[in-house]
Order: sequence, then C-alpha cells, then structure tokens
Amino acid sequence: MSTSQIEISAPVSENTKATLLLTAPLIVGRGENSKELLTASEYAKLARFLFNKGCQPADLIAAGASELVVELSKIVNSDRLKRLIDRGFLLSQAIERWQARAIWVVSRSDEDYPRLLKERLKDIAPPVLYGCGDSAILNNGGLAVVGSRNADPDTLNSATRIGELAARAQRTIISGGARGIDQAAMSGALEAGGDAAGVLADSLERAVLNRDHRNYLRDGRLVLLSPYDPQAGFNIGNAMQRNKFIYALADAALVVKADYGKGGTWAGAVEQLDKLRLVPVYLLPTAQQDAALEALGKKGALTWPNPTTPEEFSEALAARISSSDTEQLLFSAGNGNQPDDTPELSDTSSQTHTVSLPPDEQLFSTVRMLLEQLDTPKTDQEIANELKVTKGQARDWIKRLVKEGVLEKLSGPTRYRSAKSSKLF
Amino acid sequence: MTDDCGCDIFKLMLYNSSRALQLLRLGSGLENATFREGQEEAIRHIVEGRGRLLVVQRTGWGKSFVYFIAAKLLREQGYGPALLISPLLALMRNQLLAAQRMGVRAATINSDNPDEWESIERAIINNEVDIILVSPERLANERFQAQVLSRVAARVALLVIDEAHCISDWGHDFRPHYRLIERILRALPPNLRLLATTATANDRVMDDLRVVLGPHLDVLRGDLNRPSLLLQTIRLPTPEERMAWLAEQLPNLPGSGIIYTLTVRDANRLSDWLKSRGINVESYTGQTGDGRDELEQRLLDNKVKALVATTALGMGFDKPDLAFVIHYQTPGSVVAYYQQVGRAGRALESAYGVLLSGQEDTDVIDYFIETAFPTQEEAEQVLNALDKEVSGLSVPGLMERLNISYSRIQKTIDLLSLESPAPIVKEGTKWVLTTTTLSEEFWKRAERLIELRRNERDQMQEYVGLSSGHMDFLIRALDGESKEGRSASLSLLPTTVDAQLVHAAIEFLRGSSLSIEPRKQWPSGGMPAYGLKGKIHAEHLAEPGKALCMWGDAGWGRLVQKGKYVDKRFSDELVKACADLVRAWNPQPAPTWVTCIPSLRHPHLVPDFARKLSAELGLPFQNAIVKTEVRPEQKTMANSTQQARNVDGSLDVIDQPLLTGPVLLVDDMVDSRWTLTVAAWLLRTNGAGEVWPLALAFTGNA
Repeated sequence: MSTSQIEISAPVSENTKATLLLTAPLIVGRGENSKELLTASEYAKLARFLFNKGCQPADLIAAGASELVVELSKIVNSDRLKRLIDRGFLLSQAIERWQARAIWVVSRSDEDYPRLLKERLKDIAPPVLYGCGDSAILNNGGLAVVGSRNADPDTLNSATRIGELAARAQRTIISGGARGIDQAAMSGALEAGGDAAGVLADSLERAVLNRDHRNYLRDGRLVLLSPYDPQAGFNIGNAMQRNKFIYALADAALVVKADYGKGGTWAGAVEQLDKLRLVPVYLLPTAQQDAALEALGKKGALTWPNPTTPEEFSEALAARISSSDTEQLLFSAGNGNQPDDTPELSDTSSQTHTVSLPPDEQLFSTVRMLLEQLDTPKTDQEIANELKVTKGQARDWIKRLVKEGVLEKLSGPTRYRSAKSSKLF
Repeated sequence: MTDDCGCDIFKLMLYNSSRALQLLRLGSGLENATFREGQEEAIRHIVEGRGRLLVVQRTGWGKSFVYFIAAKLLREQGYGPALLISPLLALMRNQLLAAQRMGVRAATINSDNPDEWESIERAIINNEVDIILVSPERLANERFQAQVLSRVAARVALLVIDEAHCISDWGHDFRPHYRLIERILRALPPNLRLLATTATANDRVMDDLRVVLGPHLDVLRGDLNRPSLLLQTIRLPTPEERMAWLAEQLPNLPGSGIIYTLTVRDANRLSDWLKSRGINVESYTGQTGDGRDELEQRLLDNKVKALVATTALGMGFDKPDLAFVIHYQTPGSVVAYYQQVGRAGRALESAYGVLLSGQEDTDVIDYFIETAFPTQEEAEQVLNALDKEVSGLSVPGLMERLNISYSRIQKTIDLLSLESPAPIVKEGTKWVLTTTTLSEEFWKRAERLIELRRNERDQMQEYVGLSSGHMDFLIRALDGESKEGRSASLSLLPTTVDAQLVHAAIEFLRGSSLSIEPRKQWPSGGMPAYGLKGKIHAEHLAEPGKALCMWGDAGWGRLVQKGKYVDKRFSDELVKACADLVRAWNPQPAPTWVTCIPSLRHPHLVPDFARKLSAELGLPFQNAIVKTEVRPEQKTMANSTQQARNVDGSLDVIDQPLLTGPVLLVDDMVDSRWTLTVAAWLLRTNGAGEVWPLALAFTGNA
C-alpha cells in the first residue's frame, strides 16, 4: 500500500459489476437502453449455470473470459452476452453517477444485500438493489404498511399513528414511499424518531436528493432502495412488482386501504395471501363495510389488533403464518425450492448472516435457520432426505438443535418440529 | 477467482503484427519506420486484452502511435471506438495528422466546438469514429455526459488516460477533475481495455497509480536521463534584470526555443518587451485562442526565435530540435520543471535548459498553493446557502447570496462536487446538497497537498542554488537512476546583465498601460436602487478605458501604492505619466473636460490628482459626481454582484449643469469596474458625451 491515502469509498463488488452489466439498463443520459438485457429468468438460468460450474458472475468480466462466454452460449447468444459485458465504460459512468449521489448498489452475492430478501425470495430476489442510507435497517424486519395513494384524512391519520407507534416500539416501518398511506406511515415513524425503509418503484435518484429525506438518510434512520435503475421513471409493472419486496423485508404486513380487484395494494396483498405467504398479513378495520378487506379476510388476512402500546405492537408483529401455509413454502416436495438447490453466487454469500463464523458453524447456522421454520413435525429420516444428507448427519444437527431449544421432540413416532410454533399456536 | 473455477484464459489472436507495422509506416510517413523499443509490445498487450497497462515514456517516444494503432486494430476486428481522455487536446494536432494518415478517424469533443457535437455524435452512432478525444473537464460535465457520452458509452472498447500522473495526489500536476477519472477507473470492470500514459512519474506517483489502476497493472517504463541538456540556474531578482538578460542572450542562442513564465500577464508583457527589442518572439497562453495552432507551427518550423509561454504550451508538444527552454520564473516543482525543460534537445546533440530565478517567484507559487483549495469558511458558506434552498442554487445565485468571489465559489463548487460521494451534485443548472456530509478527509487531503506543494517549492529553491550537478539533482528527485556525463559542446551562458538594458526595461514597463473593457450588462438581479437591469443601453456605456499600471507592479505600480498609502497624494511624476498616456492613447472623439470618481473616505486624493491632470492636459475640470452615502470599500466586496450592489444608489451627479462633450473620467484604482460603469451611466444620462475612463492602477486579476 502506498503512503498516499486515496480512500476507497464503498467499492462496487466485481460480482455486482458483472450482474449490472448483464441485467441493468445503466441509465446515465439519453442513451438508448440496451434491448438485450437479460430477463430475470435468463439471469437466473445463467447464475445457476455459473454456480454449477463453480464460477461466479465476476468471472465473466475477468480479462480474457471469452471461453466462458462461448460456454454460456447454450443459455445466451455469445454476441449478445459480449455486447452486454463490453458495456464496461458505460458501467463506470453509471456507478460514478450513483456514488456521487451516495447511492449504493449491491447484488445477491454481496454481504450488504438484505438478508431477508435473499432468504425469502431466493431466485426471485432482485439481482441488484440500489439504495441510499443505512442498509442495516433492512435486516431488522418491522411492519410493512401498504395502502392506496388516495386515502381520506382519517385513514392517513391512522397510518401516521401506526408509524409513530412503530417508532415507540423501536420497530421499522417498511413501505413503498408513495404518496398517501406509504408516506403517512413512514413520516409518522421518522418524525417520532423511528426508522423507516422505502422500497421505491421509480426515481430513486430524485428521492435521495429530496430535502425532506436528506437528514433522515444522513442520520441513518431512513433507507431508500429500489430494484430499478435510480433514474427509472414510473412504470406500473415495476410498481406492482416491488410489493413483494416490501412484504419480504417485514415481520408482518398491514394493509391500510385497498381497492377491491384493482391497484397495486390489492394485487400485492392477494399475491402475498394466495402465493408467496412470506409474512402474516393484517387488515386495518374500517367503520364501513369494505369489499376489499372482506375479500382479503377470506384469503386468510388477519384483523389488525389495533395495538396501543409498544408491547402490543411487537406482539402483533410476532404473529406467524398458519402452519399449513408454511409447509407449502418450506420443505414441500418437488417445487424445486429445496435449499441446496438455490444457487449461492459467491464465495462469501453463505456468510451473509453469520459473517465471522468458521465454515462448519456457518453451515450449521444455515441448518438452524431452515429447521427453525419446520412447523410440520417430521422424522429424522424425512429431514435427512430433505437436506440431502446422511441420516447420521441429520441426527447430529437435530440433537444439537433440540439441546438449543430450537427444535422440540415429539413422541409417537419420534418426530421433530420448530419449538417456536408450539409457543404460538 | 478465475483459476479456481477452471475457466481458462482464452486468447483471440487479434494482434496482426504486419498490419501494425504498416500502420506505423503510414502514420509516420516513413517507409522504413520500425517500432521504438516497447511500442509494439504495448500495442499487442492492449489489443489482446491482456489487462491494464501503464506506459511511462518521455514525450516524443510515440505514445500516440500506441493508442492510435491499437484503436485501429481493434476497430478492424469489429470493436467499438476508443475513448481518449487528455487535458491537452489542443496540442494533439500533429498526432492527429498522423492518425489521419493511418485512416484512424478521430473526433475531438471539447468546449470549443459545441456546434460540431451533433455531427460528431451522429458519426459516432453511425460507427464512423475510431477514437473519441475528450478533456477531463468535459468528461465531468453533467450535460456532456447526459447528452453525448451516454450515447456511445456502451460501446467504448478501449479507454486511454493520457497524462495519468494527474490522477495522483502526489503528481505535480494534480488536477481536481482527474479525481473523477480515478473513480471511473475504480468502477471499471477488468475486461475493459485500459491504457494509461505519462511522461513522468516518481515512485510516489507510481504507487498511487498502482492503487488506482489495480494490482494487475503492467508497467512499461523508459529512461529519464537527458545527456544532451546543458542545465544552468541564474538568480536575477527583479523582472527588469531578467528582461534585460533575455534581450541580450536570446539573439545569441542557437535555434528556436520556449521561454516559460508563471502567469499570462508575464508572458504577454515579456513577449512585448522582447519584440520591442527587435527579437522575433510571440506569446502563447491559454488565452491565445485560435492562434495557437499557427504559433506552434511557427515554432516547429523555426520561424520564430521563441514562444513566450505559460504551461498552456505543455505536455504533448513535441519538437525534437527545440534548442532551448528558458524559465523566466521558477516553476513550483521538480517534476513540472523536468517536464518543461525536458522538451529541449530531444533530437539534438545539445540544448540549453536555463532557469532564471526572481524575487517574486515564491510569492507567485505561494499564491497558487494558497488558493488551490477553498477555505473551511468558504465551503461552509456554500453548503449552508445550499441547505437553505429547496431546489438548490446556481453559481450566480450563490454570488448574490455570498460575499465570495466568482472564482472562489467556482473552485469550492468544483472541489466539493468532485468528492465521492459528493456533498453536492448538479441537477440541471443548480447545485443541490446530497445526503453526504463533507468528510474530514477532504481537509486532511487539502492540508497534505498544500504541505507537499511547499516541499516541492523548497526543492526547486534548492535546485536554483546549485552550482553544478543539475541533471543529477533532477533525476534523483524523480527517483530515476542518474548516470554521469553530458555533452560538452555548449558552454554556460553569462550570468551578468547590461545596465543600459535594465534601464530600458524599466522604461518599457512604465510605458505599458492596461485596457479597461466597459461592462455591457447590469449584474444578475439588477441595480434595484437605480432601477436598472439587463443590458446597459448602448448610449450609456463607458468607452474602453486605460489603467496606467498594475497595482504594486514593477514600473509605476509601486509609485501608485506609495501615493495612496504613504504620501496620501499622487506624485507629479504620475500626473505626467498619465498625461503622456492620454496623449499616446488619443481617444476619439477626444475628451473636452475632466471629472473624477468622488470618495467620502479620501475626499481630496483623486480630485486633486484629476485637477492636476486636467491642467497638464489643458482641459477644464468639474467635480461632476458626488458620493451620497458611505459604503464599505469596494475591495472588501468579493464578487462582482456584491460589488455592483455596493455601488447601487451610492453615486449621483451634482445639481448644476454638467460641462458638455466627451469626458475623461479619472479614478485611482479600478477593480470590478462597477463604479466606473455607474458613473458613466450617470454622466451620459445627464448630458455628457463619450466617457473615457482612466485609472492609475488595476487591482484584481486583470
């Protein structure tokens, strides 16, 4: 190292550079967007291919990676791939633009990538995330508040109160940063001294320069992030898509107001209740009958218990999705989502949640994380099968987790399940 | 990483050796030309994409052949254009001619040719350009990035960073805009071809470059030794002594050369002096404009004895038979000096490198050092002003709110915006705050650089004091390997000066007046008290005026200073000098009366002088203007907008009828010109004819 001190300000990782080259529009001006960007599913395929080969995205941009490009032609046409990864100068321009504005960018293999998004969304977690502010907030969970842009003053007021209560309970409000309910809940939290996270569907760049956000971002109480280019404009598809990210970052979600059968709030809640089932979904009760709330209730949404103290608030956030739903999410057979099948894209990726542990402990902590969510009792053989390890190995882990109180042993045939589930139900 | 996954490095055999040689021969115009040591190696390295390359070779080695040929070979393989970033595009004409002969289509985009941007842009998009040349300042320009560069950025196949030592904090020539390049380099993926070039890099600079360019940097480095140079240092304290020395010695020197000055004003004045002594010289500065090509050509063709130049004639200028480089003042660092003096005698048996050192050198260098960074207070004021605005402020907006000069505001803005992450960014025409606070590191870096500059200045003073071993000293200072021995075919130049020539130089300095250009526009925001704004009506403008001298300068400057602050009256010698100036100037229509700018602080100083001058000129005097209000002195107002506001409403004409006809308007000092502008407007709107301003001294940076 030289005696000079050219400081390195949050360098963008090589894997992230590669992922950006492959998937990101890299908007720096009026240049036309490449029409050749990899789609989410193309990128997922390519990532899986690299993973199986023992490579990572960064290998694509190492000097002289032509052979890898040729090998990948089964997935992506080589010329197209080359044109994408040859956008290096454009990439440098884009990164420079973001960094000047204190916008960070991370990809799934980075340590700073929000753990919850990766764990919960797996392949559909956004390949890159842009953001500003303290990304550590994103690992704290909290309450997702979603709702319509057009809400009456009373409803807006309720959203603000909920934000304030979250602040008092020292829990984060996660929302979409949009006009209406989103902003009411977030500013309720921020003005009461709490934390908030905004998952934006567009114009991150403009949002981070907004005078109202500046101090909160600077003080590390607000984080804004987006899976879309910081200069991307409004796009209805993106606005719909980002709902799942709001849910995925939370411990529980609250639908403040939805329009029956239309709009992002409705679609996002339905997707959550019918398909993703990442977190419990609450509904804010209304004085009048509300078709949207009624329909969502039928889909399994819970009624917001209207907590008034920080303790009650935290209790509401500790709710869990009913066990039958969870079973579908984890350990279900044949949906291709077994944990060992998920490409982990970097040598550091398994450290995301246990940064400084030795490898054996990292492995164990992953096992712990998985089995913590085992709500349906299973035998040691079944668990071994799911994890694709020997029964002996599975037993070692189970024994340790029972000792730790993570799993509880059921008799009858001997089966195991998460100790948490019994406490709640 | 690559090795672990077993992805072998697969080399496409892109490099075509015979084609490269063919291009060299086309470019050089020499049928039998062969590559210089290292050139072909560098071209091959780039074309084959073997990773980042730094070439350290003296100017004239042929770096431009490396990137032009590499760019051409890549284009012939179907790659996108190359992008060259250089601070010295204006000096690349010779290289561009060579490129043209090779069939390399080069396009220069800089602030001088916005009219051509669209056609260049079209050509780039139509794939008709092989190499794009831009300056770092242009690269940093928001509008340029958005409108032009973004259209081609995705296809750039090779990035060339010229004068890469500018990236380094330790480089003598550290340029703020290279901080942007530093960051772009960090953000670049390793697969983009990158060539960095420089002529000089000491160990510290090299260390910095390795940090920025990456651990896998390959370096190609040439030899620093210049045995053909005869180096000499001569101390001559006053400008007039150095002027006399040059007037005497220049005609005796063989061939053509360069005389370097530290400031534009010195270049112009010295060139005028030498011309007045019948020596064939021209001045060449950043303000020379379009004539620069022609001047360079005249020097290349030995049709001029010397160009008297600032560093604007710098890196990249290549004249192998340059016979001498003389410094009129001491440059700020050994690296800068070596680069400049090293231009002499590249292809000659022997050449002179003479450093004249004056009393004022360190003052000028210190001024450059002290003003290179904004003060903490300036930065705070700018940041606070921006914090108060919802949508930010433009530079004129800042000038209205802050008593900081335009150039200081601009410097503050420049340096703050080049931080990363930056505390301010430009959105459209306005600067806005980001979430980033200005780091302590910024001030530490500023301190460190100021300290470094001082050490460099001291090292140059050490050099000035040498009686022998000059080349040895330079090479050791540059961390090169020194070798003994130099050509003995030249002898040292005399160190004495002719007393008569010194006297003539003083007379010359006293005879060189300065012009005062009239202001044509009221300040942004107007002059509310007078109800004036926008363009100044053509009939209310002042005419172009004259200042006898520069404040504090050799010549009359010191006498003016003494009159103002010591004697409290301007001497008869100055009255006579001004009368001579008016007679020589002979403005038409000639003034028929004299008036002056009033002052409540020194009510007699200027009127007495103006009255004496009017008597000397045989014209009537009238105290036509009155000061109606005490205001702070103009010199305490730091920028033009503040100075204009400070004059606004403070002057009026007397209640009696004014004398008629064209008038000579006298003041002692002129700086922002707002007082003269307002006085001229008052006189014209009250019936006076043409207003001819005359001041004793120009202050400020005219």
